[in-house]
Amino acid sequence: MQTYYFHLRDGTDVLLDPVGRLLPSLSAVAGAALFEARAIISADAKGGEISLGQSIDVEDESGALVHSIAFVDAVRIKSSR
Amino acid sequence: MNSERTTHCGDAEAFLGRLRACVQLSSDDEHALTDVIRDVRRLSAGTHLIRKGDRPHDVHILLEGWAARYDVVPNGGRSITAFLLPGDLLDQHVTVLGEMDHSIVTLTDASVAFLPNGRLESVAVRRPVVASALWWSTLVDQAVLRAWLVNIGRRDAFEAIGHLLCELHARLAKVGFTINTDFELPLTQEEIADALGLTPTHVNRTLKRLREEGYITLRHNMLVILDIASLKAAAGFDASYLHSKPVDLMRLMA
Repeated sequence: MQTYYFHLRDGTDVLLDPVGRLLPSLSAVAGAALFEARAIISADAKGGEISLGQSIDVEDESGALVHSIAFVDAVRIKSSR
Repeated sequence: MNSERTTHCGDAEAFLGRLRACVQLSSDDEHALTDVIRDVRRLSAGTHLIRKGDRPHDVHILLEGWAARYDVVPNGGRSITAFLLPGDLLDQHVTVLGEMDHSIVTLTDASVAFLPNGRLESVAVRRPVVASALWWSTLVDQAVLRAWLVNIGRRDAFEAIGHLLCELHARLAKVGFTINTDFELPLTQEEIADALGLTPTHVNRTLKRLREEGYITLRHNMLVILDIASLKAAAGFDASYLHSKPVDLMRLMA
């Protein structure tokens, strides 16, 4: 288990994760990041506006970027047209 | 489990303080309650008081520190179903159950009284006011659980976190753990997320919004509610479910 920090990036703004969380593998990190992105998209949908320009950057304890997911890649939006 | 056993009569103050919110205990009642608190253990953060599936043997009273009730779903996600604060009784009649349906873990270093089966009952049976106070305590726990259902079912993240902070402040104030609207909030964003069905990053973003809109701030590791009336209004918080009004004893005894 290692500590990973999930930072929320919106263009040039970044909201840093102050404490991080313990996860057992990079596969778990990728799963958690996807879940986070979708949770934020869902909450924003309820509010009426989704900002797909966001992303989640995950750093390890040394500060190295180990994973990133852009919100556009976190959901598929189907149009009926 | 790291623990040292000691007996401290003064430790019972949070427990007695909580019960005093509902009923005037006589000094004999308070002595009888203090007397059952003989086995007090210091536990480090992350210690399980009991795990799901275990057979319960003891009643616990949390004297200092925070704990949580939780369950884990098959995909590994944790759901925290209660935050336990100083003064909380866990759970008066639990030994009736053959096994625990959830786990209880300390979130901070904590001081916990262990009461063997029957000891608290023996006081309640002889003292009806104490019995009523203990019932009140259990009923309030159920009311808090219902408020948590509303948090998850009908409040958005901003309202739910605001409501939780107002609730924690109100509960801590009753047992003397607040300084005006300041209190030590030892919860991680993960723990808040697990309590409200959110994710830690969403909690992080929502706390930032609560700070930017002037509802809360952090000062030396203490959470400060800057405008409690506005936060209560924004969160839809009404403290009446905590039932902190004295019980009409004449009506009880009639």
